[in-house]
Amino acid sequence: MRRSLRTSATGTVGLVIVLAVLFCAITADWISPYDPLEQNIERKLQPPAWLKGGSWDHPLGTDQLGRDILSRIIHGSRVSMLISVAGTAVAIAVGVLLGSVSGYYGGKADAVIMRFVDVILSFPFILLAIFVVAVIGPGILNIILIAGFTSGVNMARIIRGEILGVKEMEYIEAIRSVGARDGTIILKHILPNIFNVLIVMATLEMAQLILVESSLSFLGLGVPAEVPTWGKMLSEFRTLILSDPWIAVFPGLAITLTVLGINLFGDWLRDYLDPKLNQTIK
Amino acid sequence: MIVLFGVTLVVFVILRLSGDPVDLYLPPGASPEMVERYREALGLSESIPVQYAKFLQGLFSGDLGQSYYYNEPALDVVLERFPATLELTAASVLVTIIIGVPAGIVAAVMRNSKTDYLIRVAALLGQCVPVFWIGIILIIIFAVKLHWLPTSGRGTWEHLVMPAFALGLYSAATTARLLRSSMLEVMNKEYVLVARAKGLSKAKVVLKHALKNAISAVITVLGLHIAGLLGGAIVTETVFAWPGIGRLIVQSINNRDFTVVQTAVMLIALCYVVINLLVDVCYALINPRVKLHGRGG
Amino acid sequence: MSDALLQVKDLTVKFNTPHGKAAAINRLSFDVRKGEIVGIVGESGCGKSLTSRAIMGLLPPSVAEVSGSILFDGDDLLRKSDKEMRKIRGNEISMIFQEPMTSLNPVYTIGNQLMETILLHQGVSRKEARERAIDMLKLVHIPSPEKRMKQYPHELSGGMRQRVMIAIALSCNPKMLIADEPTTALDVTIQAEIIDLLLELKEKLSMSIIMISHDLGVIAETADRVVVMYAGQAVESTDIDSIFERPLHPYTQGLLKARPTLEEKKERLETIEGSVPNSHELPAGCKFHTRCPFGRPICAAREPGLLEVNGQGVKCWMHAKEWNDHDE
Repeated sequence: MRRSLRTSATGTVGLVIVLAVLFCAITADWISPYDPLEQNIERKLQPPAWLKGGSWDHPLGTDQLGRDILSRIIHGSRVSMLISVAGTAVAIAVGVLLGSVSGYYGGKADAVIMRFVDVILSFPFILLAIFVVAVIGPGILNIILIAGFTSGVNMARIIRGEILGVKEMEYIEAIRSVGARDGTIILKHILPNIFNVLIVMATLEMAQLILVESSLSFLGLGVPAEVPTWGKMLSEFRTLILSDPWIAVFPGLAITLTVLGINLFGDWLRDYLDPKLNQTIK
Repeated sequence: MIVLFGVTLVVFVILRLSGDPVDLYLPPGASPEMVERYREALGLSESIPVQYAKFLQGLFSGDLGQSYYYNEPALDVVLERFPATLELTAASVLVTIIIGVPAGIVAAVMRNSKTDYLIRVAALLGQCVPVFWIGIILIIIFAVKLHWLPTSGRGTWEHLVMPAFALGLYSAATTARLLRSSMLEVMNKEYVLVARAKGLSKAKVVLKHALKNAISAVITVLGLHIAGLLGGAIVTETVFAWPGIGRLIVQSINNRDFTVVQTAVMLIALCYVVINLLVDVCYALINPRVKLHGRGG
Repeated sequence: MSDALLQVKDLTVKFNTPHGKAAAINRLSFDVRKGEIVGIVGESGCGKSLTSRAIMGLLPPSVAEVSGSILFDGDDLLRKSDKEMRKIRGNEISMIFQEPMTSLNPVYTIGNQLMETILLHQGVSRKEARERAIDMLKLVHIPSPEKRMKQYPHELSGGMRQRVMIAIALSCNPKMLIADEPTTALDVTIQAEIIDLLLELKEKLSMSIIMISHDLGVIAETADRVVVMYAGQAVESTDIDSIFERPLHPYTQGLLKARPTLEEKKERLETIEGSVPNSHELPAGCKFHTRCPFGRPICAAREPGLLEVNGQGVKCWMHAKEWNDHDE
């Protein structure tokens, strides 16, 4: 059912959420009520404003070091957005590269690349990420690369399939018969046809990457210490849930909402671009 | 099989590239000779290809090396934790099937009704919540506030409930969504109409005729999930302090305990291969048009 | 009309469309007597397949609004609950469909699908059901029936699958068989075989058959009587000979003229001008008048009733006494 954004409630909601999170990420420094790193031991573990003992100074409360949770959550959106957007970009690059070579040229290159993909995919992703972090160390760039790479490999498989399909179309033969170079063919003619598939895959991967990044930082393998991320906040709060259970709600909620927003928007996008797409992607 | 070897090779190489474990095991200020002797003892002084060759050699005689950290055979260390992971994986698969399958069927049969809508919303949310968070929330509700279930650790079935649920939620949601769309597609097929024209009740038509056709897509995905669950249960194991392989791997990576990591990863990869085989078998059993051919890799 | 097995009276089926409620079948009436073959003929979209679904009670109430009456052996099928209808489906009234390729469930054996109906309606043991199933396969002339029982649909050819469908439909000895375009998807040679088979079985099992087809050739070979449908209504209803020799309704005449024949040489095939209207855009008065070469003002004004002309039923103003009344 092809519906324009205005008539799809869920699509609009999704887009709104995504834009809101992006907004937070970009303007974090300006809109946060406090410095996320500012500690204030006297004010530690204050509950959110609507519970007993809380105040509207710190609407979502403070953590064990007295830092304002709301500010930390706003700042956390930066890392999440950065990693998911950049990671997806890397993923697309990797996926297109591998998928194109594999799909277009076929033969040995295809066989080798697909085996390689099999090996990588037979690892549960988290494991792979942990490995690589252990080797090359944590840090934003590394995580982006790892996440991007593994997503990319996954995408490569699908892209290859799509290219195999497009390759057989007559207009490709026609172009080739007038002597166009391979590179041109791929870039100008084949890729634009799988554009829809790419876009939808990209949005879904973005959602996945947010979950992945938060899992990694939950396990302590994320970005280095001071930068607040949602996953890390949850791992810190884990030990506190016996005494202050409310504290674990917000970071997780932030993650869930963001992922939800991306998924809602992605679903709408998929329906909008091609209702038949449902069958090719997962 | 090739994939298996590829995996072990990759792991092997990456581990050795990641740095010297010896530093962790010797007191600081140890003399270079000591370091060198220790490395030799661990078999790390030779070049990587040689090390790999020795590893393969040991593999065939059943010797997977000694754990640096625990000072026991790595295989023992890993196998000790394996049952726990297996238990958790099995339980979460159960959760996935018990929740996901009926949900998918009901949503398809009652298409566009309120129930369908609710199920779809729930499934979507299920795919959005991070595993560790749902785990923590479950602990808060059921252990801290209600005191119905224990907070962590392994023991009775009560210990298993929350981790299994947290881990299985995502798969259940995916299964429900997938099964729903698969069923809808099948229910439009002519043979379903024919079945009704024979006088079969709606329930029988759905369960006997439609489901068998729709389930194949789900099985493939389920297989992938199971394989992923085995190793990826790391997060759940961490939240619930579940003594499984996932945690072992993380700790061993931090401990630079190469042998344990290698062994554990191999085990997981092996399971992955086995599960893939099982999925193929199931698929062939259900769909008579598919024939089992020998697996090349 | 007293030995009518099936009496359809004023059957109306309405659907909700984005344009409002549309009547896909509009006060359709016809009879089927014991042991006769009634052919329902018409173009795609005239409602013939819908009629068969309505008789079997396979139209979900949430989607279709069905009214009128369908008397089968005196009982009104439209007043029955789904549970009661289930006892009739496959048992007293059976149906075979157009696409043998997709009518059989690919994941179960032929034997399984054959025995399913028998076990459901006849309460016999599995062993007996199996024997009956094999007997049915023999009845439809399928060679090596025991072997076939264990095979899957994809292992059989189209013609054989259609035979299996027939076997399944007849396994409980129904009083009436509805054949919805049974030969349309088959090769011409196979078509002939299936038609012969149906005729043979009709005699052997003394059934009535409703033969639905858009192919006049098939109807000519099988039907005793013919009902011509247009835009959800029966516009003409006669015995087989009269339909071909003396078609009364302009639509029937048009259908007959549109066929290529071996006898006459034609320069161009004649067509009926215009196309079948959508159910929500039906013209007022006679539903065919916009395409009819003989139309007069009365046709646009009022819908004709069913008239009887020498034993033939027709719904057309041409044969009414009002035809020659002019306002001149």
